[in-house]
Amino acid sequence: MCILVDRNTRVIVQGITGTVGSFQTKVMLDYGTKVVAGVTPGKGGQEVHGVPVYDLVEDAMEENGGEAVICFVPGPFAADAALEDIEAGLGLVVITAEGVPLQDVMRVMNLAADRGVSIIGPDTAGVISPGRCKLGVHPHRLFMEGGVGVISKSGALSYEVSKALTESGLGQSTVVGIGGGPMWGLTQVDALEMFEEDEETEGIVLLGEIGGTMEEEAAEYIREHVSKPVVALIVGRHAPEGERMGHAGAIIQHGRGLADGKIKALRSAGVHVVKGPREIPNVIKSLL
Amino acid sequence: MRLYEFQAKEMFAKHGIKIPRGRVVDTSEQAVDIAKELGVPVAVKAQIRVGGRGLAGGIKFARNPEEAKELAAGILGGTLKKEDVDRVLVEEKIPIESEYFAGVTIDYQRKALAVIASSRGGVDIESIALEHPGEIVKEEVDPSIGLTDFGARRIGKKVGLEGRNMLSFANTLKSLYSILLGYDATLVEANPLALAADGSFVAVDAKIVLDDNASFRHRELFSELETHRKTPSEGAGLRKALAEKAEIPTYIERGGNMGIIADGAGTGMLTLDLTRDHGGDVETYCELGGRANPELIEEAMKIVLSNEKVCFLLINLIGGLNRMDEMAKGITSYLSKEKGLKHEPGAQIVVRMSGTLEEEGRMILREAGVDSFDNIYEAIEKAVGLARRS
Repeated sequence: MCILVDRNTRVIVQGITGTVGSFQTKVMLDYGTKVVAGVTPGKGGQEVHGVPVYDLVEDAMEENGGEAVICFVPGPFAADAALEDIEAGLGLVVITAEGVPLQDVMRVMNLAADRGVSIIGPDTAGVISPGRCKLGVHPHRLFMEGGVGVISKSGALSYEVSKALTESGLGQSTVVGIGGGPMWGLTQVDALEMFEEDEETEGIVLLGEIGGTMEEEAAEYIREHVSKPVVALIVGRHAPEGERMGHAGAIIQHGRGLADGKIKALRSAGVHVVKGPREIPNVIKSLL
Repeated sequence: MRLYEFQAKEMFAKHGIKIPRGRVVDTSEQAVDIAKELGVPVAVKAQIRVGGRGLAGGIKFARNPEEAKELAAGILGGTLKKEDVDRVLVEEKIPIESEYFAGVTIDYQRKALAVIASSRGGVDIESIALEHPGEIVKEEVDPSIGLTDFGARRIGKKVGLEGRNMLSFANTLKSLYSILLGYDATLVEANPLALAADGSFVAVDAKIVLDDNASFRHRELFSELETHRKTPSEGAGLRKALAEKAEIPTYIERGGNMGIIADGAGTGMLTLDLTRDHGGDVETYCELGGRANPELIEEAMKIVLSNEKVCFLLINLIGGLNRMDEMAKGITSYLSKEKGLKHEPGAQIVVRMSGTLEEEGRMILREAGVDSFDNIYEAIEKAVGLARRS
């Protein structure tokens, strides 16, 4: 098994007719993802790489079904697109856009929680279960099917680490990008819980960064509930205080959110914390 | 975007919150005129957009217009907390009975709006939390219902107010809340919110942070606020402003001889960490986000390399959405123009490229005579090696 998405996940692509949406749809189809429909308001009736396009998500769902959606709609319109997905009854919504107004994100998260819908993102690369389903923009050649679960705030950092794992012969069960914050749908704790339960996952890599308290909460959760080995990498060790480091959530303020505190919390929960990606494969191998 | 105090106060006044009488000026002569007009002791306050201004000497009090002139002259033209001060707010000094804290913000963890209030205003909320943790009232607001009148009154009661004062405090909270909603702010704060001798509440300081992501809904407001921003004409300030204009997500200068350009927040921080671990001295950190294009990386190279201190540039790209063919086009386009400009001696550039369409990207670079690495460590070792030998 793997988490969140597998071979049978039927995927809808929102914003499928745009440059990015169309290109990424092709890549997902080539990878074997079951993209069953696309949505672009006003472009209903067209086809993109053989995938039928609809004006409304509910129409796409009615004719093709679907469990998950990846949304390539730009920031200003992404929240509305996500609300449409939730209303239509999709169970998993990946919001790739950055720059979504925060009050909009808040409304999406609240409705999703009410309806029991999982949101990944915003500002995320999505999720990939290598060899089975890619619901995201990952450069898939760097990934390989296997037993390591990867959780990352940053998409690109998860590519970097998966590349190191793959090159040393360690495949991944699922790689989840949860997004750059400062508001998250799926959290590190949610993903840890899924990997702990997933039979295929033998070890977990947690990729965190400065800012906020999510890594500390993950450490607490690992201490109490995770029996599988966890290796963590926290980036931003050399980030200056008070500067936002690219992700909205990645900022050290008033001496809080420092990498040091997160590293200490994780170590005290029994997590092996490393300084860079190349150490990860060997540490994982030694723990399995 | 954080507003200047005078801008935030204008917005407060528009929404029925009392503010001290006064005006923002940019010369000490104007400061005298305003002080004379007000005819009372005044506060002279540096207009910068960072906290801790008072302790840094950015707020002074004058008993008469001459003193106001001296104080304004002392503050204007200087630098406070790394910001140039070219304006001061001159306003009446309010006789204060007691100082409260009133703020509305987004609680990211709870995914809700939150009203925060305290009877221990006048210092930042972090200090109140440290010294009087029991005296902070925090109430979550369900965004689908909004801040109710009774909810606002309840907060007034909880900070210890009664009667007319409690009602007046509640009205202030409602105004702060409607500013937060109406302008897509992430933070609206009156601190200190002074209970004046006449029983009214006056916002002695005002802080508003708008959500840049929502600027498309408030175009007029944003462009009006932008006109008050002064763009530095040279050096680090100019480069930072150019980066902001080009919509480069992160641009930081620290003091060293290396520059980093990366295409993602996480890998950017990783590149910075590993470069420092290897002994590299990073002057410029520039991160393009996961949705770059050839124009963006070309502009980033132009800005980073216009800083003479940057002699070694490490470009680390690992693309998902970012296509390496496009990144390579941006890099080669910069280099071809740089050769035309005859920058001598140009900075040495090390490129690492991996991810979406990497073969295509590598080919474009190779044709332009640029080698690239696939492994991040090899690229960092190469760049740091060059920089340390210099």
